[in-house]
Amino acid sequence: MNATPGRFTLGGNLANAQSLSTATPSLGLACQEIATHLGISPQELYFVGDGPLAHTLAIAGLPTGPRQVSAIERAELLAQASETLSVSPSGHLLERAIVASTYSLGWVNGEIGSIQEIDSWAARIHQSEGLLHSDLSYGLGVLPTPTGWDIASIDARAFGGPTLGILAIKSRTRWSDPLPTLSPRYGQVHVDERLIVEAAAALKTYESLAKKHYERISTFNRDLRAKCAEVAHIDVAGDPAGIAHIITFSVLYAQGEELVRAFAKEGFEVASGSACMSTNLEPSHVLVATGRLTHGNVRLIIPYDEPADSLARFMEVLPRIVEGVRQA
Amino acid sequence: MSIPALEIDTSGLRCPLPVLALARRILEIPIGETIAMTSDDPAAGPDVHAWARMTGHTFLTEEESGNGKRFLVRRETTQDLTNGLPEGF
Repeated sequence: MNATPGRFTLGGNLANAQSLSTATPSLGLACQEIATHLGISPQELYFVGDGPLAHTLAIAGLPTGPRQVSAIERAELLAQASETLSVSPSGHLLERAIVASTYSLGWVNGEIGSIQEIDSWAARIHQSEGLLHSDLSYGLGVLPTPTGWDIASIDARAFGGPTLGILAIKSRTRWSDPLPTLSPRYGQVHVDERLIVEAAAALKTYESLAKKHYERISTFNRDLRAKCAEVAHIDVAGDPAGIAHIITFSVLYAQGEELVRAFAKEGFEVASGSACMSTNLEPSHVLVATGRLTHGNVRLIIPYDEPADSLARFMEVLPRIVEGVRQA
Repeated sequence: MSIPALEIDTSGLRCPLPVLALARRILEIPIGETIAMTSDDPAAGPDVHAWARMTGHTFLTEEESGNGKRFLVRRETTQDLTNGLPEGF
């Protein structure tokens, strides 16, 4: 392994799995489990405080140069983009010439569920001597993990884990911690080791639930899309071939906030990418980039063990809620 | 580009009200004519695009205007998609 000298000591707020694995047996096992999911060795695994920090550091630590970021990536990644890459209405990167540059392409989009062909893009990017960063948060434990990326970042909350950021840095990748070492205190490990054990356990649980219920949730996804077409004037985002548990739709002439409230009254916790629900009053950039209706937006992230009767009831209340909110 | 048959200003209104206003007022013009809408809602641009796609009207242009944008849309259908919605927009 040709790790960059100093990568374990620079900005010591990164907890490297290699140094941690010797600490306690459960921790070593946890690191091994997470690494296995990612198809890497524990030595290539790092932990930071949270997902957004992991995303930020992932591309900030790569060699300087242009950063090409797909338009539906997380804001932390887009903030570092020198060029934003357009996507199709289904959320797939549009065909384009690949150059020797750093690309950031997420695997499964956390808002609309579309799945990017990471490995085939990786092959083309490598052919042009470029680098690929991928946010792997939302497919991990559910679908076979792509392996072609050079560096990956993961928000452990996406698979039901704790607030923890995971960085997977292939040993061949030139990466150095971009954070300055400001004071001696900085040399400490800031990640609570128990969080890593907790994350590995959550990932294991999530994987077994997803395996058991994927078909069922996938059927719900299909049925809900059909129901949305039936109710009329609902714009469903993403891709019917996307991941089962993420589905986003927008209700024409309805207000997102009122829809969220109406669903909450029925016991359903949904999110919204509508401007009225955001702190800066801007609509979700993912909806904008994929040309979707931004008002009346509802986003579902369905737990794989969501009971069947609850899913059936969601389907049942949808037309009534839509009608009620439109007429409100 | 022809002069719009109707010009509306939805400044101050937030989603979904600008699009709702557009949907109502477009019914006042004949098919084939255009309506111009000014809006200072940051969500209006993507919404007018998506609304035109969903309803079959044609999105023509979008330009900067004051604090916001001015959109030009051509009416293509007779369908009144706002039926059953509350009055007053």
